[in-house]
Amino acid sequence: MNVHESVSQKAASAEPRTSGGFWDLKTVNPARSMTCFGLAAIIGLGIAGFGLFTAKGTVTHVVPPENVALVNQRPILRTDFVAQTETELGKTFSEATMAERLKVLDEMIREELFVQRGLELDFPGTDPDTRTALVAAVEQQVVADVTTHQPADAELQKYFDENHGNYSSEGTMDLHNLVLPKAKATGPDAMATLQKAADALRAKTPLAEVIKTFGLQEVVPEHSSQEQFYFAQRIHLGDALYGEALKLDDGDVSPPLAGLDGVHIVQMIKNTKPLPLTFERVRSQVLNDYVMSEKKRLEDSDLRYLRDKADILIADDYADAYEKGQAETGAEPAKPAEQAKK
Amino acid sequence: MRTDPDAIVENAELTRFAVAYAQPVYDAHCASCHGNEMQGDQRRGVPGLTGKKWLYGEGRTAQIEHTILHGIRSGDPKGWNLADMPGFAQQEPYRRYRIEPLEPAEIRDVIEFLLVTGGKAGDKAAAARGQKIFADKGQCFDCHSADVQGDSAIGAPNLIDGIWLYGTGTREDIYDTIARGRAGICPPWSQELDAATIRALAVLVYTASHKAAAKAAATSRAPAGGTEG
Repeated sequence: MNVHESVSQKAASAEPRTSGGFWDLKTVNPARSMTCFGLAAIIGLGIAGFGLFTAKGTVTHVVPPENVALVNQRPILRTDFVAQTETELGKTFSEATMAERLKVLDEMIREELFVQRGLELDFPGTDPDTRTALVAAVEQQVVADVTTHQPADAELQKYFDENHGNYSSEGTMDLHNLVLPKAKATGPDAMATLQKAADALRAKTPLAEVIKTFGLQEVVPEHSSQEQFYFAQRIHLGDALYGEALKLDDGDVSPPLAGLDGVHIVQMIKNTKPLPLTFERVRSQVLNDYVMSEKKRLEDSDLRYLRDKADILIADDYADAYEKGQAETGAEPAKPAEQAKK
Repeated sequence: MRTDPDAIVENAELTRFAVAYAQPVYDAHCASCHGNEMQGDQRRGVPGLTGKKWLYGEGRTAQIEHTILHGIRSGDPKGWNLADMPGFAQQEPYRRYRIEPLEPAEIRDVIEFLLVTGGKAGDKAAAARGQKIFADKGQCFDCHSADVQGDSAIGAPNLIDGIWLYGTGTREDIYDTIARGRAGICPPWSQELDAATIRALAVLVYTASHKAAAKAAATSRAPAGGTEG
């Protein structure tokens, strides 16, 4: 054996044999390598998938200081605990004994457990009371968003200027409402009689004398005085007579006006017309109105967003009418059921 | 946070720390309404926070903390939201349930009743009529209680103690309140500020109205570690 032969043989013996069987672990087998690689990948994916789909989020075993307990990681706030204890026991928290506090805490934990169970059972989706409460809570949340950012005076002043007509003193009317009852007010003479009565009042004839002379009756609202706010006078007089009364200044007498119960005339004692109020005087009212208008704006915008995001199907027999109604309010139209199926 | 909120103010060191911690927060979030000195603003119906009388609760730290957390008529379901002042010169005075409007003369009579009962000069005959309206048609007693001293469980103010939330107690101020109603708002801070900050704010407000606690906090010696602020 020469040197060259010896080196060649050594090199040959150092190379791994690649033709061994699948289970021959002493030899390299590409098929076995690929199989092992594949298996490892599948096991890895399996572990990752299990972790992903069964994860419960970040679990803590320490109760944060602002909480008195965690129930399935949902906190029971200390402030709620204090308030609940005081409400339930009718004494201050510091006066409550440890046993009393523990009783309240246990009740709160029980409530939390039942609430969580209720969520699992989808009561928010099915129970009418819970649904009503949820709607109210979401509506109220909008107010919370508005109120946390108190409007500046300039914003309120702008709102006041834009809605100045809403801020005036309440108009009042003090008046005599006289009627020639229907039984007596027959024929064309009735209007002439009332016209004469009106003229007599304008001529400063005493009211009692006019009533007696022309056979009139004074209509006095039951249990009420003659001085009323505008809205109340409108109810008492009816729209037509109220419209006439609005035109009268102090001491004026209206022309006769036929009503369901006879022919009326109104003598105005004092008509205090609404006067615009200053921003300073109605500031708190402006703030409330501003908050309500912002709430409405945010609520509408939330609803638009939810509608846009939602998949709403309307049955054929209502789809057209519903869509028309929504179009009038500028909302995104819902899909009719058949169209959605396609 | 683990300390009973009402007990914090008995510890001068804790109180001093909380007051120093909360003052910048008060300045940033509360002073715009309640004023730099917590004096309130009667033009806007914002209560002062330095007095002994409280509209909601008795002014304990736990109650103040609850108000700061959840607000008043704030939209927070845990907030104070049991009643508003109806506007009796409106066709529908109250949004929560049906109440009859009052007539102009009846409102004037109730004003006289409040002034006379509060020891001010007024028309006694009108006050006698107003008392009946207070106890009957107006249903005022329902919130403000039969003795007119209010009910801090629902935030109904005492009407004869000379402290006025809106205005200064003139006939015009009282008329505005009875005729148009009131429903002041305090925002809920539970989403904006953390629990410890709100607790500290509650202590700050408590000390503003309880001078002895504030004095004790101010005169207490700083801790050796120096946790000033």
